[in-house]
This record gives sequence, C-alpha cells and structure tokens, in this order.
Amino acid sequence: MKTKSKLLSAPYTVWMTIFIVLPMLLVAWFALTDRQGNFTLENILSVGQYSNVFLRSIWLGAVATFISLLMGYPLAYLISKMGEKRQSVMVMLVMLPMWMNFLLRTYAWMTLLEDNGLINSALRAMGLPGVHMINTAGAVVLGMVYNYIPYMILPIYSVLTKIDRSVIEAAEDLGANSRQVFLKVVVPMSMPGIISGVTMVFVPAVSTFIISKMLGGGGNLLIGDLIDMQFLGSAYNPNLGSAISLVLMVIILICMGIMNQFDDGEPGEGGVLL
Amino acid sequence: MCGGPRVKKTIDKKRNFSYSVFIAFASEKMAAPEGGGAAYKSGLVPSPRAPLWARSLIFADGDPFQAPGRFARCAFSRAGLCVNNKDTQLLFRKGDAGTLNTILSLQNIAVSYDGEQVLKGFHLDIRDGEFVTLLGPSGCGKTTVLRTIGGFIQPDAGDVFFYGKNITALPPHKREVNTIFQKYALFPHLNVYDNIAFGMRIKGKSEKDIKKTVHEMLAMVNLSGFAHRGVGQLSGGQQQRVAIARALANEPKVLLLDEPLGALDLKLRKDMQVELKKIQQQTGITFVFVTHDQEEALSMSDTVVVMDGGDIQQIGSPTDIYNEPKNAFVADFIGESNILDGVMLEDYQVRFAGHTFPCLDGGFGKNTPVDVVIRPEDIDVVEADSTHITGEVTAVTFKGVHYEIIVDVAGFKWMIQSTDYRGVGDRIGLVLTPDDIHVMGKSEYSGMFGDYSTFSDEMEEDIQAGEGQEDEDEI
Repeated sequence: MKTKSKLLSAPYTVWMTIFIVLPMLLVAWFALTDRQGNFTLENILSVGQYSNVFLRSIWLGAVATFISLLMGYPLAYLISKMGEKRQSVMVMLVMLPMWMNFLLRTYAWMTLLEDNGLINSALRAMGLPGVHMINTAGAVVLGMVYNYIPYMILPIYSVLTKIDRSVIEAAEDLGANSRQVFLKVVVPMSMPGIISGVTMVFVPAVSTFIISKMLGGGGNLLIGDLIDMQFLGSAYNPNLGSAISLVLMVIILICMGIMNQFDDGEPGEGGVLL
Repeated sequence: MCGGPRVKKTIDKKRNFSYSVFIAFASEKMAAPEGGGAAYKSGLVPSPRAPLWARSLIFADGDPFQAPGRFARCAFSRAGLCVNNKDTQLLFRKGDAGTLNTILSLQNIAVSYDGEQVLKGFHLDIRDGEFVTLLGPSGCGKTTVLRTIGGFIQPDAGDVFFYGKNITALPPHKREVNTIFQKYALFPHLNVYDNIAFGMRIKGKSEKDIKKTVHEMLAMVNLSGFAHRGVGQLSGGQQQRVAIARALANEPKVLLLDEPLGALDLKLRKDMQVELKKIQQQTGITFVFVTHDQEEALSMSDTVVVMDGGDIQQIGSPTDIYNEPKNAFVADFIGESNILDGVMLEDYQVRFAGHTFPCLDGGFGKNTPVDVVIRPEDIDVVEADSTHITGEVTAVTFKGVHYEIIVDVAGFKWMIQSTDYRGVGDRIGLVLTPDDIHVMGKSEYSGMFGDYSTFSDEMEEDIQAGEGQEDEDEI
C-alpha cells in the first residue's frame, strides 16, 4: 500500500526535483557567488540599494490585494447567496477574463488608459478635461486588481458556500442581527478563504513585471522589472538578479507568515497551506 | 418590560409531592441578590439569572392560594433571599396564573414549501414550564412547527403568540426562544467557552458575568474542564451538551429541540434523555422537543403532540396517548397494536373477531362501526380449548424481555407479546378482559394499520432507517 502510493507520486517528485528544487538551489548558488564562481555576499548586500523598488512593489501589491479583497469579498458573498444555477453562471463570468491571454488583457488596458486612449477621448468628447492615467502607480494597481481579482473571489466563494446554513441560524437564534451574524460568524468562518485569496493575489502582484512595464512606464519600476533587467535587459547580471529573487522570496515568506497569524486555529477547507 | 407572574411546575422527588413555583418578575429597581444559584440548584426555584430578576414563591399543589408563606419562606431562606409579606401578598392575586399559563400559542398557521402545503390551520397551545414533544413520522410538519416558533419560517397565514403578544413578524434574533439544532450547529471557529458565551456577548454582558455563567452551564452539562477545547475535538455527545449549554446560557423562556439526539448511539441517547429531562426540571424552562422516536417521546414528555400529514392527531400525556389512542394512526405509531374492525353494539358492548366482548368504552351510539385496539402485551395466552378466540402460531421472535408471537386467527394476524414460549404451528387461545380493549371511532386511518400479516422486523428497520435519512433533508 505504502510503496504503491509512493510510486504514484514519483512522477511529480521527479518533476519537482528537476524543475523546482534544483532551480531554487541554482538561484541560491548564483546569488552567493560572483561571475567567476567564487563565494561572495556582495550580491546580497547590494540588493539594499534597491530598497525603494522593494518598498514600492510591496506597497503596490498590498494596495492591489486590499482593493481586491474589498471588491471581491462582497461579490463572493453575493454569489454564494444566489440560486445554484445563477451561481455557476456568475462563477463562469468571474473566470471569463482568464480565458483570454494575460498580455492581451493588459494591452487592452493600455489603449483604454492612454492619454489619447478611449477613456480620455470619451472625456474630451463630453467637453471634460482629460486625465493622465497611463504610466502612473494607479494604473499599475488597476492592472493588478483586474488581473488577479478572480484569485481572490474564487477561494472566498468556495469557503462561503461550505458554511452550514444551520450555523448562521444558530447565531440568529442566539440574538445576533444580520450585521453581527456577518461579522462574528461569516467573516471568521471564511478566514481560510480570505487567507488563500490574499496569498494568491499578493504573491503574483508583488513579483509581476508585465503589468508595471506596460501600465507603469519607466517611473514605476517593480522588483519583477528589476530581475527582468538583470537577466534579459541591458544591466545583464544574473548573480545580482538571483540575489534579488532570493531576498524577494524571503520577504514574501515573512509576509505570508504574518498573514497566517490572523487565521488562528486549524487551516480549514479551501485554505492554502504555505 | 415586566413579564408578569408565571407559573412553573416542578416535582420534588424526595418529598414525593409536587408544588408549583410561582414567579413574578420584579421591577427593574430590584437587584438580583447574590446566592440565588443555591435555590436554583436545589431544584426549587428556576434560575434567577434573568434580565429582570424573578421572585419565586412555593406552595403546596392543589390549593395554591392558601398559606403560601411557609413554603415560600422555606424556599427563600434556602436561597438566602429575604422576602417580606408585602411582596408575597402582592404576587398572590387570583386569576393571574390562569391567564398567563399559556406561554406559546400557534393559531391558524399555514406554511407551504414550493406550493406544497405542509401546515394548514394549525393550532397549538403550549403551557409554561411544560416538556412538550412533537412526535410524528418524517414529513408530518413537526420540524416546520418548531421553525415557525423559532422564527426561521414566516407562515403564509396565522399568528404566533408569546405570552399573549403576537410575535409572528419578529425575526429569530429578537425572540426569547433558543434552538438546539439537529446537528448542533456549533461555531467551528470558536472554542467551547466562546461558543457558550456567544449569545451573552451579543447581549453585551460583562466578561465577569459571562465567565460565571459559562462555568455554571458547563457544570450543568457535566463538561467542566472542557472550556478551552475546540469544538472539533469533541465527541457527538459532548458537542450536543455544548449546544445545550450555549442555548441555556441565553436564558430562553422556551427551548426548542430539533431531534437533538438523532445522531447519537443508543446508549448515549438514553443517557441524554435522562439528562435533558433533569435539566428541564431543574430550570423549569419550557421545552418543545421534536422527534420521530415514540419511545423517546413517551419517556421524556409531560405532553405529547402526535402529528401526521400536518395535522395534530392527538394531544395528551404519554399514558393517555398510549392507553387511549384516538385513532388507528396514533395506536399504530405509538407502540404495537392489533387494530380490528368492530361494531359498538351498545355502551360497554363491542363485537369484533366474531364475538361480543364487554368493554369500558361507551358513548358511540348503538351499532356504530369502530376500530378496536388491543395492545400485544395485554393479551393472555391460554390453551386453545379454554377460550373462544383461537389461532395458529405462524411466527415467533425472541425479543429478550418477551417473545413476539404472530397468531393467525381466522385470517387476521395478531401480535402477542408473551414471556411464555409457543412454537410455530401450536394452536393457542387468546383471552381478553374488558380492560384490554380500547375502542376508537373510525377515521381516515381505519384499515391502514394494525394487521400483522405483512409484518417483518427487517422491513420495519428499513423504514426506520429511511426515516432517519429523510429527516436530515427535512427543511
């Protein structure tokens, strides 16, 4: 029995070793050596000079995550309250944008937000002054929220639908009005969904480079762009790029660790274990 | 704000006589004295932990309005409370008790789900301090009645009265009733302590009071020391007790119990039956209990309400329901019954199974068709030649306490419970005394029950198992 299940997991174990564990070790190796392959801490130490980029990434990622939560939770809550048929239609609508290519979606936002884009043209047609939107931090956050909000809605929705109706009734029975039921029962019980939604939005948002490149212009450089530049760009320096990656990884782990403190108790269904 | 006087009934087993506990809510000015818990624990006085403190006076049953003083003072000195004569006089005005006796009244209730009428013109009065059981097969509307009282169902028509006040439109959180749900419905994100404290925190009580009450409640349900366990770590029986403690901590006037013992195994269920009954007697809270288990209903209740098809078939004490069933449905649903077609020749003379028997029933008129109920345990088995009902044994089942014998008497199969063994194929005689015969009027259920020709234990178990399943889906 045991050997059988081990055999079953063998393909993924091999896959994980070759394509996840080894590359991570390589990243660590590159981060701790110079171009000649000698051990050095210089790369790690020089990451410090990019602290403003780190701060901006985490700040924009956090803002995008917060907005996604603020917009996603009520939507997930409403969907979970609908009839079964409408629920599946709504879930499909939430996922619909994900069927389209990520790059294409972001390009579309460029044409919308540009100084001569659709929105500004419409504003001018109505006799209103145009608004500069493209190449701002706001545009980057917008792109992040737009692209990642389904990852917030879906886990929260799936946890909400699993809440037993009788638990809600029990709370009402014990004197809780609808606001108290929501705050004291529904929200705490959906915490695993919130945690996993936050994780699934925050992590890709912090390390994105496409969104900031397309919607943020040069002035809103994120960690992702910085790493991109070290490997594919003009500033070619894989060792420094690896060091930045390593530091980013540690920072995200710390953020998630703090986040998980809010979910006291056992990780429930729908929650992502980190 | 004042609730007015209410009557509660408890029984003191030690002294072997019952007395009524008379409570009147004092005005807001009167503070709850310390030490009230002692009387509460002694079983004499319902819990004095009420938003408005209740004064309790006790007097001998039978003549409640005479000489209440001695009993009252006795109870109060035990409780460490002081009472002066002015208070006692004030509380004992005649007439109050009668008008306020009914705590809950359902009038003309109609409920339907998706066009299907579950209840129609439903009436039920529940007296204060009673243990009432709604008993019936699945789909009979008993859970619907409970949910209507709890406020989870808005009836299409009719009114719910609580102490004479119409609460039909009141949402669940504003009703002074609490529910124990079928699957307990504990809050999984809270531990035992916080579960029990939930209702009190909503009401904004001080953490000091909450702590005191939680520990009192835990002691009552024998779970002291479990306060900081997660509810997921508890067994079914323990979760059930937490659910009871959580509901009682909210000081309900009425506790609704929706098949709370359904998920427990037999042994635990028996223990919980005793425990629930004890808690009900201690606290004097009105219990409305829903079950499809007739044995549970008979052993726990003061009053049993037998329901089928959304209608009440019979209301009465457990002994009334068992000994004097009103129709074939009740006779069949409560215990085992042989139900035969008969004719009431005149008062105290009934003819069935080809013979005329003297009986104790009358008032049906002459030559009226009736249903005759004979309980299997009431039939005496004798030799075939010494009586006029004789038959052949077709099946014998050993049940532990007795044998269950199926006898074919001229095509009608009787069930007999006897401690004497009879073999299959034996010819035996049956003896009935007037006391064994119960006569009922004909009803829509006549002819549907009471013949054991298709009876098999296996089938009955299947039906019961099926019922349990369906009940879970019941809305």
